[in-house]
Amino acid sequence: MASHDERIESLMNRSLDRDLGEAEQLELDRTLIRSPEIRRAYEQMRRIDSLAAEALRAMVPEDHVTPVPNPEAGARRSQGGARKLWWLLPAAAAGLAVLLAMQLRGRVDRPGQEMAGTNDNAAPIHRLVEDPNRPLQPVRPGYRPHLTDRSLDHNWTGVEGNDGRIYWIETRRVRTLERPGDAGAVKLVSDDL
Amino acid sequence: MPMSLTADYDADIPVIEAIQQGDRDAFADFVRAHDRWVRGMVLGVLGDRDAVDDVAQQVWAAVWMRIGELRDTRRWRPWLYRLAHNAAIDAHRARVRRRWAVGQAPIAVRSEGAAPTPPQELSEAERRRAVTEAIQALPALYREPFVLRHLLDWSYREIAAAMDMPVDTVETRLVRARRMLRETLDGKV
Repeated sequence: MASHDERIESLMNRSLDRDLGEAEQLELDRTLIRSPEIRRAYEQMRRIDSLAAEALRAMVPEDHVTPVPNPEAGARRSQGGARKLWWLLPAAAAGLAVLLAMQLRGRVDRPGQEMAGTNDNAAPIHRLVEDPNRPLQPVRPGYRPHLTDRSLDHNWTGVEGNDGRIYWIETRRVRTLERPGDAGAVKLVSDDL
Repeated sequence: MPMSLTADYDADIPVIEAIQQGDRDAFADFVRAHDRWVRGMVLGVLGDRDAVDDVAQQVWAAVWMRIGELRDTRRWRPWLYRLAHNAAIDAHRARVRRRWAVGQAPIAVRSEGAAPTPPQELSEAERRRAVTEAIQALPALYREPFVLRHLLDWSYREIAAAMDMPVDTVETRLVRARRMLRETLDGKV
C-alpha cells in the first residue's frame, strides 16, 4: 500500500480497533470518500479482521476451559523463605554421603592412612590428647607435619519434612590435627566435612 | 469478555489472596475466569493450537505452585502473563528442537519469501484456512497483540497493561501485523 501514508494507515487501524476520536473518524471518513483506492484497502482490512477473529475463535473455542490442575497430583506450592530448603534435605544428605564416600575411598587407597569406620581391619587412629601446655598455634608456610592425627565422628540427625516424613541426614565429621616436627605445636587442618 | 483495568481489575485481588492461602475453590474459579485469555496468549506465541492445551495446563499448575511468590497482588495480571508467555516460549523452543532433531523444517517460518499464489476465487473454507495460515506465519512479536485484540477484543490499553509495554508499541505492532496479513492474503480474500 505504497500510496497510503502512515497517518491514513494508522487511522484505518485505529478505526477497526474502535480507538478513534470523533475528529479523527471524520478525517478518515472524508479520506475514504475521496479515495476509492484507500476505500478498497480499508474494506480488505475489515474483511481480514473479520476472518481472523473467526479463525482465532475456532482455534480457542469459548466453551473449552482447561481442566483445573489437581493440586494434590502436582508438585507442592512454593511459599518462599526457609521452607524451600526442606526439599533440599534428601538431596543434600545424598550428596554429603557421596562426597564422604569419595573422600574416604581416596584415603583408604593410600597405604598407612586407613581410617576408623571405613575398614574394620584398619589400624586404630591416633587420637590427640589435649595438652594445655601446647596450645594451638599457626604453622609457618611450607612446614612438613611430623605426625597426623585424624578422628571421625559419625552422626545421624532426624528432621521432620513439611510432608510429615522424617528425613535422616548423615553427617560425618573429619578432624585432622597435624603436629609439626620442630615446634611441638599442632594445627587444626580441617574440621567438619 | 474484555477485561477492565479499573474496577474489575482490582476485583480479582481478593481471589488472588485467597489462592495464596490455599483456597482451591477460589483457584478453580480463577482458572475458569481467565483461562481463555491465557490460552489466547499462548496461541499468540505458538501460532497454532496443537500445544495450547498442554501449555495452558502447565501454566495453571505453575500458578498454583508459584502464586506465593507474587508479592504485589495488584500486578497479578502481568505476572500471570509473563508466566504464560515464558511457558509458551519454552514449549515453542522445545518443539523447534524436536523438529530439528528429526530433520523437519522449523515451525512458524514466515512465508515472506515464498512465491506468491496467483489471485483466484477461494471457497469460504479455503479463505478461512488461508487466514489461519497467514496468522500462524506472522512473527510472534506481532501475532501476540493481534491475537489478544481479535480473539479477546482487548483494547490497546488492556493489551499494553498485560504485556507491560507502551500503548504506542501495541498500536505499531498491530499496524504491522495487519500490513503483513494484507500482503500475504492479497488476492485471496
